[in-house]
Amino acid sequence: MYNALTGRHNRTGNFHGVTAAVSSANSRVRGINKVSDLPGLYSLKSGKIEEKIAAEELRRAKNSGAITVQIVNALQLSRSLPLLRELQSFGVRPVVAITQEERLKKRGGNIDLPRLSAYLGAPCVCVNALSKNSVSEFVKKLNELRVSSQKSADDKKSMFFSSSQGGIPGYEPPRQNKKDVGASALFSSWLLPVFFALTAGVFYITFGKNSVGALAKNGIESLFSYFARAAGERLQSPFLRNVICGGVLRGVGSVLSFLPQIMLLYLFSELLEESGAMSALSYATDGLFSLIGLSGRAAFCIFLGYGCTAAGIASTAALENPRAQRRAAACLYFIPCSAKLPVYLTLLSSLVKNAFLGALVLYVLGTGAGLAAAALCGGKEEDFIMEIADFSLPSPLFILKKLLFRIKGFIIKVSGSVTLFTVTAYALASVNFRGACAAEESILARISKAYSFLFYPMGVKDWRAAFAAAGGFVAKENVSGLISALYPEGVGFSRASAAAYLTFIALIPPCITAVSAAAKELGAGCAWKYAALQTAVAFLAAYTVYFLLKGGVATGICLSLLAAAFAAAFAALAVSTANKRKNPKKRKQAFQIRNGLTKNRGNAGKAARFT
Amino acid sequence: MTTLSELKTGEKAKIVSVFLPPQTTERLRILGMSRGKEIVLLKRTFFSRTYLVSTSDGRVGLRKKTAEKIVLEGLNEN
Repeated sequence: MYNALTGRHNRTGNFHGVTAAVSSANSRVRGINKVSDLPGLYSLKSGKIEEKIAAEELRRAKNSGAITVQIVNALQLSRSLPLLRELQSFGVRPVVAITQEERLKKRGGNIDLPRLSAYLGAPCVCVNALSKNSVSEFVKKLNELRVSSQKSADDKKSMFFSSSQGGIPGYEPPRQNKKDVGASALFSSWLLPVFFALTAGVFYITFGKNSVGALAKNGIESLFSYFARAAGERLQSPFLRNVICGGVLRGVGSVLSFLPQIMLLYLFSELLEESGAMSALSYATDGLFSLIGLSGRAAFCIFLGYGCTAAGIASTAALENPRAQRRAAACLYFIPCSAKLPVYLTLLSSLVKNAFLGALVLYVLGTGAGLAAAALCGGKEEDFIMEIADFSLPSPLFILKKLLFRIKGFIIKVSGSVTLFTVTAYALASVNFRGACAAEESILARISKAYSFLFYPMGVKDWRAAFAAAGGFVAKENVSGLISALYPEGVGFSRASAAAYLTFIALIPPCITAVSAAAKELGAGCAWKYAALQTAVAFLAAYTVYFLLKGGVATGICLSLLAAAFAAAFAALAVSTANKRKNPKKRKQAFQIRNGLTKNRGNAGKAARFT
Repeated sequence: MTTLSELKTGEKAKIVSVFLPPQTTERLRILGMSRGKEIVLLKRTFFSRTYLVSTSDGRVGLRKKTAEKIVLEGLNEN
């Protein structure tokens, strides 16, 4: 409904808590000025973060004279009535917008609007958010209601209605179908293994040798190489030739070439989400998550994290409490996002025969580290009570629209920030203060050499690798873009160094967008502390891998133990200082800032709309 | 009288009382699990740690330690 009124493309989902912050935008429909979308909820009393945010916004709306619309699902009308009652007792006079009326009718139910409105003491309107006509009809009715409510402002009639044990006058519920037999089969213990098998299958189609994804990628790469050659022939200045052919075309081209594979992954994730399979997975994985102190609710956040870490972290606002958020965020920092994929594949392709297997190993490494990080966070474990949505076939058109939106976002991001970064880096790598020069003497080399000593213990002595890794902090795609641009002849690491460098890339903190999202959810101190800790862990792990592969088992084991000891010490220190909010006043302040209850709203809304 | 954790899969029962903190009780009420409502235990998973329950509104997933605190009155088996 929000998207229909504002022309935006906000994320929606079957999964509870997808809209975890308030989004506001100007309406593009005549008759309405501004629309604000509140987090989905059924009550203002059960203590969840999103409810507090919504309550604050409702208070503001009431004072400013805005109309509050409660969107209600016709298939589950009774569930929304307690909230209606709460809103009315709050002094808000909501309009009830009933969606899914067609589905209700299909399942034998019915709605008598006048009777229902009379019973509920609130005007009820049926609307189909996917139909432009229906939405404009709805807006017309809203304006009529606004006029009539201003006239009857003196009407002191009580807005409450008594709860009736029988049915709801004016509402016939849908038939109870026998689908619960199917449910038993669907939710069987085969659900998880099938899911893993399906995921492995999708991975193979996307990244396997000669797979659809790999072929598409090679196609795009060849296209950009052709452009680079053509441009090279036409450009006179060697500097321009370097920057445009090397920096822009090869660098950006290498990132764009991953578009088909990333889209295949996104398609899979959208299908899972829109079909209702995600809540089933939450149910199935809750047992596993409980072992690391989280609940099945985190399944969605973690799953999103495989697409985009920032989106995953933003979605943690829907979790039970700040402690669960911290745990999930610690996990998400390590979970490999889709932008890490181009980097893995670029580095792997020149080093191993089976890039698919290599990518799988790195994904397992990242996931394992994430789960370990979550388990290491102190505190009580979370509880799990969740509504499990019905399975339904998502509309192909809807999925296509969402996918196109993501493609657009990816291309914009690549053509915008990544190009700028890659080109700047490439330019800086070809000049120093005396003019054009070789790469080793350039400005960029000087900057990177200052910290590239950190990479020596993994056998990586080239400043370019150090710079590429740092570039990943701005956007992970930069790493592969930079590597392609700065190493036109190929990377040329030794086996052990390559493994170490890959381990490092697999474990480094996410991009700055993700860390900002974390700063919004957990507080800047916590977010940056985790990032620093993670960088230390990444370096130590990389050194360990290098020593293990170079020095044989004994050396490897001794050094791993040493590295692990350091890492554990760091972890204990960071966790204890992060949890040390002894001052109740400070804790309250921190909670308020985190949950947008002060004037500083910051990026929570934007982060939630990220993808 | 029995608790949800002792219910057999496929059995239907009516909720008699819920011995949980107010916030949890409210959450369950919203999801259709409050006194007098009928539920069916559909499945247990992962060593009976997580339960899948069918209510008049839909389905709910919850953990064993929550299920142990929901007291039921058995009805005829499904």
